Amino acid sequence: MAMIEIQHLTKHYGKFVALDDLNLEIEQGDIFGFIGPNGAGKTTTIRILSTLLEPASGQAHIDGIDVRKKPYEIKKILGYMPDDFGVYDGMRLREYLDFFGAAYKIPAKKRASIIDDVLQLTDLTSKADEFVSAFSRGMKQRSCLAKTLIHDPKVLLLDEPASGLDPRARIEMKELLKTLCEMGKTILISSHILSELGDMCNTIGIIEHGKLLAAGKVGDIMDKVREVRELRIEVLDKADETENLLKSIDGLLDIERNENVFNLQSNLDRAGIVALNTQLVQRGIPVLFLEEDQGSLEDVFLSVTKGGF
Amino acid sequence: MSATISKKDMASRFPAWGMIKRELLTSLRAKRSVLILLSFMLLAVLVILNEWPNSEHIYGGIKAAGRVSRNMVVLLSGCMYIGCLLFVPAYSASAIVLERERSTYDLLRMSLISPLGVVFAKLFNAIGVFMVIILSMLPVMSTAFFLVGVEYTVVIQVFILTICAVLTCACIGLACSAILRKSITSIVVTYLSVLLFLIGPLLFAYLFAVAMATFSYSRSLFRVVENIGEGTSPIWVMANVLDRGAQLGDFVTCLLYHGIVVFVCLGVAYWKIKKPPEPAKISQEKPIDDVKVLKDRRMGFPFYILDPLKRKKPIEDSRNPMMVRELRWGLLNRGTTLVRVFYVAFLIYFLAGAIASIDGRSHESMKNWFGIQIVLTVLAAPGLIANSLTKEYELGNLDMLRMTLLKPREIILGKYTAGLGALSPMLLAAVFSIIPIIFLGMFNYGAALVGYGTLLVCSLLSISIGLFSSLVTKQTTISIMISYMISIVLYLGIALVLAWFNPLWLGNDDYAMYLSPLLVLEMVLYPRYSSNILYVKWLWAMCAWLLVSAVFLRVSLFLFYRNKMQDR
Ligand SMILES: Nc1ncnc2c1ncn2[C@@H]1O[C@H](COP(=O)(O)OP(=O)(O)OP(=O)(O)O)[C@@H](O)[C@H]1O
Ligand SMILES: [Mg+2]
Repeated sequence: MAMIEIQHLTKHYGKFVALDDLNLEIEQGDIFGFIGPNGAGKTTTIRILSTLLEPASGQAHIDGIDVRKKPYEIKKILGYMPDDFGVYDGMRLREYLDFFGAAYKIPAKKRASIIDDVLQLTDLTSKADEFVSAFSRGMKQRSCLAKTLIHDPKVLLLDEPASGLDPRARIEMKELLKTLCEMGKTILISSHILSELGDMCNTIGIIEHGKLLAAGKVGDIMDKVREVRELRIEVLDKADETENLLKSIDGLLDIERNENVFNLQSNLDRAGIVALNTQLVQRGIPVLFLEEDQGSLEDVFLSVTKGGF
Repeated sequence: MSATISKKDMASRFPAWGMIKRELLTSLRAKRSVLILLSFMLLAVLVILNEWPNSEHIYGGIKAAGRVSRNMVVLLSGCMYIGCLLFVPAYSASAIVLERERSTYDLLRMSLISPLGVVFAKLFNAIGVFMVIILSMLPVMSTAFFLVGVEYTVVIQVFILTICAVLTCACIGLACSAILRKSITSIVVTYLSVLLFLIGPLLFAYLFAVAMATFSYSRSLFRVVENIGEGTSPIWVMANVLDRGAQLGDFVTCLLYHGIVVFVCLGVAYWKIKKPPEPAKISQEKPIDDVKVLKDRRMGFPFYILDPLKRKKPIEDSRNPMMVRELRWGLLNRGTTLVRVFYVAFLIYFLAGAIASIDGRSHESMKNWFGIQIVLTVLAAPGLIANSLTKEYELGNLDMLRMTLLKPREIILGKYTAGLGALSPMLLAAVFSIIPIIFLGMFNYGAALVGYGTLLVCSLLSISIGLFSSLVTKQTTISIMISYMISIVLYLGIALVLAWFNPLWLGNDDYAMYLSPLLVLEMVLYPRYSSNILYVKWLWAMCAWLLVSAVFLRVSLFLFYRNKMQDR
């Protein structure tokens, strides 16, 4: 059974449909990237999952527990980091974490060592005795992440956790998420910075106007989404022969030659590309490279979503 | 400015024009404006219906009709004046501070709108609704002219005074919101300043009298001071106008006083918008673990009882984390403010006690003295408590709190304790300020018991009301307004309305006690009535009012459970 299961989830704000029959499954141990344009319904979904918002209809289960029926059980296994959050005035970081630790019913004896651990994880140990309200945005974000981790939740819902982080912190965040993932946690992370999600997540979902447009492994989605692949072939020799061969093959839309390098627009699928390679090799053409221009999550995003509100 | 300037020209010549228009429109369109307008109108209609002459009056002739119309004007004007004074501060006190808290302020400052434009835009926003209300009261009030007996000069004076008072209160709020950093402090300070503005000159005159009584007594000098105090104090002048029409001299002096306050406040607001306060500096002083250092700090100035730098213990397992947070951090951070509140409250109570003691009749003056304490506590409570959950919401903490394993009961109870803590300086001041009364020999055990008991129950009730209001809405200003409205209804409204329809109600102490906790004081401490049976009745009444406050708490809990706060 999947760790997070969403079935036919719908949410209205007045007449406005924020979520429209959303279905989604996230397996245990996945890092799931939740992508969508502004106002797509990401925050709404995450808030419903974290029992903060009541859906109009549909169901959501986390670890087999119904979000609507047993919110208290859900809170025990869930770590939620909101997209905008406040901090308490006049509390030092350690006190702030202590308060949330107590609020999560962690016994006082264990709390101190747990706090040390999360401080270490989020690289805030040196700030433990400073006031949270004077932190910069990025540091506040890290403190909030530390707070989210304090009760060792099985599932993490992070709403744009990296938006205020500096490049170094982002890389560290990526490492941190990997570590958490290795510990068996399931992570749902929403973000706008697609290049980052691309190499952080193993599965993604794209949402727009409250509908899930695509979900699955990053590679699979790329396959599904892109009709036209860009191939680059470089040969050591026999360039003319190669050109003739390429021209004879169906499914190559556009061939652009630059000395020994060919840039191809193709609508071949994966098998087609393998066949092309075989043909080249059978003709005895010394192929140096045959590579697909990987494209990026951004292209996928742009081709899947339509834009406009 | 010639009349040929088109709207477009206006906008391009004065960038502030757009903002003024926007502010005016948004304020008039807001739900709360409609609410206020409707409730004012409803009240006015009720007053008129109740006062409108019936067949009995006809036999009374013109004299009776005159009495009716006078009554009508007095009630309508009184409601209008007091109502406006209660709500205007809430509108204006958050005007600039809120922009700063929502960090839209920098955008505003970067625009082409001049500081003066900002001041006026905010001013129009704050008074727009009230001008509409006041104007719409004009035809309502005119019904009184159908019945002879009211001079139009009185009505004109009432309107001028009300408009000026609204303007002045708005300016006071504006100045506070430009000076202070937090909306809640701004609201509290504004209400206090408005109170001071209204009764300040009078208070000054009385203090002067007290001072003179102790040194040398010059009757003529006292009369001069008293005349000035009474002539400038807006409340007093308004009362005079309604009574038999104020003297022109008093009226003009009073308007002058309004004008000076407006001028000063606008100046301060303008200056502070040009040169806004720096963001609060948070000194990152490390907590101190060393016992010896801590001891030295305790022994030296300023003799810390609770050292802010002492490392705090982790929250104990058996305790409610929310309550601990509110007390150990929330209240302690406000420590200096609370101590100041204590001093001010103590001073006021002390002076009130001293003034009352001139009177000398022990029961009567004790009653007045406790009355002042209760009224001040009830007035202060919404400002201190009605923001307790809206603040969490506005800061963005509520989601995180709701995600923890804290039960709604724990959160509500924690907030309730915090409310009690916030009121504690005023309650403590009340307790300490009895000392001079004891020395003056006015002490009376029964009266003290009744007084302090009622004060405590009223505080608990007000805290519940504040908590309830902060769960009904998401905005602090609205929450404070709701809180005041409920307080008015509970402490005055029901009793007044019933007394109106059936004056016998008030004569009957058995029932009157359950109509308002303030009446309890009136009933039990009234010299004629004090008897042991009455104390038992007082006890019952107190239990009833405790029950009411428990009901408010229970409903608050219910609202929290219902996830009323879930949607943004
Ligand atoms: N309280 C509300 N009332 C009305 N509409 C709302 C409310 N909250 C959200 N919406 C609407 O629901 C839609 C989804 O909002 P949501 O916050 O889930 O978007 P999002 O995907 O998180 O966007 P972003 O990337 O900007 O964070 C938006 O169009 C928003 O305008
Ligand atoms: Mg969002």
